Amino acid sequence: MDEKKYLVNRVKTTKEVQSMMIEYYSGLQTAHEEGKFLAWTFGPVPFEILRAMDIRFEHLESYGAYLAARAGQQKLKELSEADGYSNDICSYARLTRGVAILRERGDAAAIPNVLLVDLPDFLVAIRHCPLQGSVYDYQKRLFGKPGFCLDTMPIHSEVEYQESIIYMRRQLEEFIGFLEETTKTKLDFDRLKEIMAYVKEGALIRKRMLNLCKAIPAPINTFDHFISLGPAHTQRGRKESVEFWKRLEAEVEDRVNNKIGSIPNEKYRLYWHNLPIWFRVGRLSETLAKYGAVLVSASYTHEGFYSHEPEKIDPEDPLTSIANEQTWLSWLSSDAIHAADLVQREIEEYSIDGMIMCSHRTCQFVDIGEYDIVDIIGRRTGVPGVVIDADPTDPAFYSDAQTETRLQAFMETLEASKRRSLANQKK
Amino acid sequence: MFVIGIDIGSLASKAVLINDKREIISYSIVPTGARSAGAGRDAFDKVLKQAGLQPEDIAYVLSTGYGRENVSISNEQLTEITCHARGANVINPDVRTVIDIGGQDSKAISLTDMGDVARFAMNDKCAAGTGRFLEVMARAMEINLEDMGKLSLKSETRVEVSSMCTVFAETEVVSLIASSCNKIDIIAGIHRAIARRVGTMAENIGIRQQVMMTGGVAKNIGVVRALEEKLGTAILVPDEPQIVGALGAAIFALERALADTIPAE
Repeated sequence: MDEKKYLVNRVKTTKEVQSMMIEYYSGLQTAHEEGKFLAWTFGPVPFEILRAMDIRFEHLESYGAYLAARAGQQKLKELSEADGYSNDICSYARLTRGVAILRERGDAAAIPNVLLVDLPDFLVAIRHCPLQGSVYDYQKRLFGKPGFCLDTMPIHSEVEYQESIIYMRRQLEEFIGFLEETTKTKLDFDRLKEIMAYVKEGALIRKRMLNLCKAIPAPINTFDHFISLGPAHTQRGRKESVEFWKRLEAEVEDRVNNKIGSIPNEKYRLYWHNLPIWFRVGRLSETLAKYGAVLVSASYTHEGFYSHEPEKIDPEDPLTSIANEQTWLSWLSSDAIHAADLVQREIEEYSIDGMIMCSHRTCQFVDIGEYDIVDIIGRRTGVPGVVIDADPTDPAFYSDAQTETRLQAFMETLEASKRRSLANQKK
Repeated sequence: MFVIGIDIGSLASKAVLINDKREIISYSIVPTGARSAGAGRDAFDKVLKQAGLQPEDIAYVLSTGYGRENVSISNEQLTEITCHARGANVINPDVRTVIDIGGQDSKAISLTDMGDVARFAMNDKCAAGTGRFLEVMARAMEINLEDMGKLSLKSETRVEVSSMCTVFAETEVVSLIASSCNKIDIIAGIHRAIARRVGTMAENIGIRQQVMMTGGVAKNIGVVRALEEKLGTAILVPDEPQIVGALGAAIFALERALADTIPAE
């Protein structure tokens, strides 16, 4: 049989992600056998502290993304909905509830064995998303296990940002107290400093690697970055993850030096706003490539995971560094004007022609302000945007035909605009 | 020179044949049914027959609509968004906003002063605010779809249909009938429900004068009036609103055909 030909020239190093994630999930399965504590985490909680205390953690969003990318989510969705979760509730949360039900029933056949994580010893959440905080509260009561939820504040200015960092730092101290009491183990602060040094090294490399996409043609597609988000969440602070980012950077740098693009005949450079559609990453990258369009930047890849000022991470003061990062994420999610400022910066730095705004049906937390951002950016820069309707992990809220029509229409709009601008230049 | 634009919609397939002066020579509207490729061919054959032409007389065929990729006779495919915008621009160059309600989708398009697409919005994966929604409601009330528009203009009492889910709205309509509400008032309520949904989507991209409505639902005067009330502006409706997308496709086909005939320098 002929091998299917793809337009997108995927970066080879991201193929390592599969084995990294399998190793990670296997570690969750054997946590209890190995005498380790297992936490279920809701949101991008301070994984560095959990790692420093040798606590294994299941990360809700990475888990949902991994399952959805492998079409393994249907059974879990059905289980959670049969349990009373409305299908309008966060699809990540429904998957987590589904796996809990599977575990409680001892029914292991529904999903790949490696993804059947154990039930938690305790839960950890961060209230970047109010709904996720509620889901955490509910599951904590359901499991009858201890838990800790870090609170966040809506931020709209530099002053509020600085005040919130102090608030977050204080909560981190309480969080460490909770972990020490629950696990009866003292946090080794030197170990945390060592982990933060790896976080910094990895974040600096990752930031340089993201910046390489300013080159024309773009050496790497943001869809490749989406794939590498699993390690960015679950592996950060490990020496192995630093090595991974080094290999990825080297490959991307080599492409820049040799002018190798992610797609053939790059015509349009696009920005993606909000979470990816995990079950359509490959297909959408091919759809866009068909029109000569490549994603060169995204809010989710370029603004989170210590990509904001990684040089300021201070391994000697890990709690302030973690508080900085968590508070930055809060600012991103609570202020459309701030988000628009960042989008504008990306548009200028990455020579972006258009924006794809992904409106997620069950992720209302990120589903606000898309049209505002399109308006603001349109007025400021003239760069147009299109809004598509989807969901991070639930295909019930997604239509290939409708999305692809919108994307094609958007490409036609960009083409017409480019033609007009060329005609004006000739006049 | 003759060219054809074909628009394969979910319920109806349309073809428009024009000459090199952009004059419509013939057009056809056929039901799409289960096979979009067959319906496209039927619409194509019909316009040829009406014009007394043969397939070899046609210089270029451009298809649009949800079934655009399934038309084997087409030279090129463009989306219905681009084609509706162009069709509306050709009919009236002053149009800056197009609201298209078809069988299974609705869209709002904002046009530049040059007539190109500036922005657009489409309904999400849901039949609310589409022709299918009206069909279901007509069936629930046992009236002809075609009669709904004129009947609704006679309404004197305001009845609200608040559900936007097609299934829930059908239940709501059945309940209103059971509670002895006047059918005419219910129809007007249904039209306002569609106008709320589609009008809000159009407001999202910004309403600029002139506003034109296209698609099969534009034949329903009740929906047009309800949208005018919602948006606070007059709405233009072309003589045959259902063929605007196919006309736009035909205009693009003509541009491509003419470009092909210009000798290379």
